[in-house]
Amino acid sequence: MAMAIPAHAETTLTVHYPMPGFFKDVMDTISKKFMEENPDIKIQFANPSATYEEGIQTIMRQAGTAEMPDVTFIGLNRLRMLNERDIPIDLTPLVAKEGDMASKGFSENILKLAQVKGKQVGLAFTTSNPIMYYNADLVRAAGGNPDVPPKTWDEVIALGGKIKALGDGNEGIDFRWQGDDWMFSALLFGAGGTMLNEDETKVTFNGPEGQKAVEVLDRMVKEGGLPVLTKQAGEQAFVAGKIGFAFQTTGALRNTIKNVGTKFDLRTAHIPLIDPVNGKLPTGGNAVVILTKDAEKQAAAWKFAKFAAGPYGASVVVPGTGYVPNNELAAASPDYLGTFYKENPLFRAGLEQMPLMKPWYAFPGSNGVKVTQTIVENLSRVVEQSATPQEALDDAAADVEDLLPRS
Amino acid sequence: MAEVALPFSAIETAGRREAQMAWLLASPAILLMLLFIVLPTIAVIVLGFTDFELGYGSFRFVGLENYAELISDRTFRRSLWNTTVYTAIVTPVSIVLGLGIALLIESEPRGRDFFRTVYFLPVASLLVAMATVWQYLFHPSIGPLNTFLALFGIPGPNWLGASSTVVYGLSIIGIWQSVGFNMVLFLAGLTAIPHRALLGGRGRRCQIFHRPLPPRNLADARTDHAFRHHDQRHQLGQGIRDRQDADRGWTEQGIGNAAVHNLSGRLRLPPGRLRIRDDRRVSRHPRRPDGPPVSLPRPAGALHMTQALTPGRIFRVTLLSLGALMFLAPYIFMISTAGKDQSEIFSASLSLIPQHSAYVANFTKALMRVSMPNLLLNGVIVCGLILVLQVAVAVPCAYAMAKLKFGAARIMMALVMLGLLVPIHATALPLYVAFDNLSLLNSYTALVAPFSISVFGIFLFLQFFRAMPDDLIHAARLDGMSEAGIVARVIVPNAWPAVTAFAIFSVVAHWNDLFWPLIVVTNQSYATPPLGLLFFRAAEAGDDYGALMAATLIITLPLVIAFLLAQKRFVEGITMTGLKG
Repeated sequence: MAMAIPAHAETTLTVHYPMPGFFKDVMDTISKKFMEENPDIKIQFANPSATYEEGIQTIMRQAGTAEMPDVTFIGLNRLRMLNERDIPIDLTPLVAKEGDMASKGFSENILKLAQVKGKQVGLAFTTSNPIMYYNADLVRAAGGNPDVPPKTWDEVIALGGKIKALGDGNEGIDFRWQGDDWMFSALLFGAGGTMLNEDETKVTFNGPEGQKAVEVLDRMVKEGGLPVLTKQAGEQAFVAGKIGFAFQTTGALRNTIKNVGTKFDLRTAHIPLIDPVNGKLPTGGNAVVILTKDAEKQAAAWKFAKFAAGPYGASVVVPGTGYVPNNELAAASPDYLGTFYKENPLFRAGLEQMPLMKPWYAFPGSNGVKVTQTIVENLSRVVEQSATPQEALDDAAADVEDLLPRS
Repeated sequence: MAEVALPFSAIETAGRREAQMAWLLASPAILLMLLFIVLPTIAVIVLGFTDFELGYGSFRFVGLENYAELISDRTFRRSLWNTTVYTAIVTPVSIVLGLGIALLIESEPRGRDFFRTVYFLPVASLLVAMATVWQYLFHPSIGPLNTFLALFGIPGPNWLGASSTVVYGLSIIGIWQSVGFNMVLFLAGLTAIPHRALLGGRGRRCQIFHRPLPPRNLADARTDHAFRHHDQRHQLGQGIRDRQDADRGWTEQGIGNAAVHNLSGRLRLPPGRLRIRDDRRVSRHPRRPDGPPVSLPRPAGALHMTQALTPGRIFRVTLLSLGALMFLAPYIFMISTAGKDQSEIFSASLSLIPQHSAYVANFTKALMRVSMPNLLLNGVIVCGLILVLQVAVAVPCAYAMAKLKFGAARIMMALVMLGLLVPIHATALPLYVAFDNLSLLNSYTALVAPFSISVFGIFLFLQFFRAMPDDLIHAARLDGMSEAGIVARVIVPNAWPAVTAFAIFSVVAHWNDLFWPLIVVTNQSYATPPLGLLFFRAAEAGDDYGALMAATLIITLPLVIAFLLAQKRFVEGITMTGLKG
C-alpha cells in the first residue's frame, strides 16, 4: 500500500468486533479499503470476541482502562447496557453536523436501530432477521413440495415429523434456541407479544403470546423431530444433510452455503409467524460504537464508523455473510447490491422480511447477559422435556423479574 | 553437627547466621507469596462482602448478601453438583487406568517408548484445541463414535447435548486427558520397585501391594545400580545397612570420611550417572551374602520379563494396542479432517481418507490466518520465563525450609499449603484490577508474574531436599564452603532431577493455560498458543473446520515433540523426586 508522507501524524484506531466467524474477512476487507482512502488513519484489530455476549463483557471489563479499544461493534440488544454505564460517546451531535445522513443511505428507520432513548449510541452495521433454511431433498422425500415451503408452524411441524419418520438418523427440525433469547423472541414477537411491559417493571413474556411461543417449541420436540443438540452440533448435522429444517439468523447464510457444498439442494424461505397479521421479527446484528474520548481519535473513528456502516460496508457484509443491508442506498443501487439479489435467490428471504423487523429487546439494568442466559436455560428444559412449557416459562419469568433493576 | 564442644555464643552465632541465610534464601518466595497469593486471597474474601463491580468506582459493604444469592442460585448449585460428579468419576478412574496401563507397559518390553508417548499425548495437547475435535467425535448423529456404535446396533446417546449424559461425555474427555499423567507417575514408581523385592521371590501382585512407597527405596534402586561398579556383595550388605538407616534416602557409602574426599569428585559426577538407567540392558548378578550369584530373571521394573509369546502376553499387547488406538482416535480424526475441504467435512458417512486432498490448502490457510511463529514464540517466552523464575525462587526457599533452621519455617509451610489450595481462578479478579491500575496488561509481565511463585514447586523441592542427607551439607560446611556456595555447588546440581520433573509439570500447565492469558491479553501480538487457537476457532467457527484442524495440529506439535525427546528424563526425574505411587 503506497503511502504519501502524511501531512500530520498518523492516527491509529484499535477496533474490536465480535463473531470473527462471520466477520473476520468482512472486517479485513473494509479496513483495507478504508485505509486506502484514508492514508492518515491506521486500523488495527484487538482480539475479537467469539459472541456478542463475550464482546459486551469484554468491553464492560475494559471500560475506562488502557485496554479499551477505540471502536467496537456491539450486539444491538446490548447497546442499552453499554449506555447505562456511559461508555459510548454520543453520536447525535456528529449526526446533526453531518447534515444529510439520509442521502448516504442512513434513513431514520436505520438510525433508530442504534438509538437508546433518543440518544444515537452507534450506527447499525449489520442487521439480520431469522429465516427458515430447508433441505429440499428431505422435504421431497417426506412427500412435501420444496417449491412451496410451509407457511405456518403447524405445517412445519407436520413435515418435520414426516422427515424424522424417514429414519436413517434424519431429524426434522433444528431451532437455534441456544445462546441467547433471539430466536425465542422470534416466536414471541411473531405472536405479537413483548418481553416486558411498557414501563419495564414486569415480565410479560409469560403471557398468552409467550405461552403460544413455548408451545410451538414443545410441539417441535414432541412431533416435529427436534433433537437436543448444541448449537454447533445442530449446524453440523444440518449441513451434513441430516436435518430437514433449520431456523436461525440469515447472517449464517454464506457459511451454510459453503458447508453444504453440493451435498443437497439448500433453500431458504420466510419464517412462519404465529400471528401472521400482527407478528413481528427481532432484528439481530450489531452497531459500530465509538468509545475513545480523545478528540482526534474521535474524528478518525467517526470517519471509520460512517464508512463501515455506509453503502460500501453493506456491499461487503451482505454477500460475505447473509446479513441484510442496513443501508437503503446499498440495497437499491446497482453499484452496490442491486444485481446481487437478482443473482442470489437464497439471500432474498432475509431481505423480504425487513419490513417486519423490530428492535431486539434490551433488558434494563446491568444483568442483561444473565437475563438472556436464564431464558435460554429454561428453554433448554422444554427442549429436554424435563419441564412442561408452562413451568419453564413461569420459572423464567420469576428468575428474570429478580434480575430486573429494583425501582 | 560436629561433635565438638563449642562455646554457647559460637553456637548461637552459627545458628543466627544460618537463620539469616535461611531468610535470605526464602525472602523472594515469601514476598511473591504475599503479593500473589495471600493479598489477593484476602482481597477476594473482603470483596465477597461488598457489591464491587468492575467498571464502577465505588462499592459498599453488603454483608452476606452475595453468599445468600449464591446459595439460592439454581445454576450455582447445579454446577457444584456437576463438578462433584465429574471429579468423582474422573479421579478414581484415571488413577486406576493409569496404574493399569503402567503395569501393562512395564510388563511388555517392546514398544515402551511408543506406548508411553501415545498415552501421554493427550496431556501434552492443548485442551482448547482438542475440545473441538471431541465435540465432533461426540456428535449424536454424524459423529464417528455414534456411527461406530450404530454398526453394532447400539443407539448412541446424545453425549454432549442431553443434560443426563453430558457429565459422562465430559468425564470421558477428562479421563482421556489425565490418564497419561498418572501413568507416568506409576511408571516411575514401578521402575523403582526395589530388586530386593525380587530377591525375596515375591510374586508380581505382592510387589504391587507391598511396594514400600516412600522415597527411601530410591536408595535401594540406586544402590543396586551402583553395584555395577563396586564389589557387589559388600555393597549389598552396605545397602541393607543403608536401608536400616531410617531417614536417609541416599546411599551413604561411608559418607563420613568419604564426603570430605569424595565431595568434589561427587559433585563433578554428571547427574546422568546417578540416574536410574533403564535396566533392561544391565546384566545383574547380585549375590546373596553367602551363596553363589543368583541369576535373576531379567528385570523390567521387577515385573514380568520373558520374550515368549504366551497367551498372557498376546492379551496384554492387544489391550495396550486397543487402548492406544482409542487414545489416538481424536488425532486420527484431526489429521483426517485437516485434509478435507469444507463441504466434505460434515457428511453422514464416516470416511477417514479425504476425497480430494486439501492438506496443502488447509495448512496454508492455517499458517496464514494465524501468526503461528508469533504464537509459538510467545508460548516459549512465557513458559520459559515462568519456569526460570519458578525454579530460581523455589529451590533456595525449599532448601531453606528443608535444611536450615529458621523461625518462619512453620508459617512458610502453612503458606505453601494455602497456596496449593488457592488456584489462579480465585485470585484472578484482584490481580487483574491491580495489573490494570499499573498499566501492565497486555505484557509479558502480566502473563508471567502471577506464576513466578510456584508453591507446588516449593513443595516438590522440599520433599526432595528433605530426602537429601544432611551429612552432604555438613561435609561441605566442614570443607569450608559458604552457605551461598553450598546452594550453588551442592544443592543445585543435585536438584537437577527434581528440576527436570518439575519443568515438565510447569511447562505443560502453562503452555496449555487459557484462562489467565484470556483475561490479561487483548493485543494479538501477545497471544499465547491457546489464545491464538481460540481466536482461530471462533474465526473459523462456521467456516473452515479443515483449516482449524490443521492449525490445531501445528500448535499441538511442539509440546509433543518436546515430550518425545524428554520422556526418559521425565520418568527418571519423577523417580528421583520420590513423587511416586
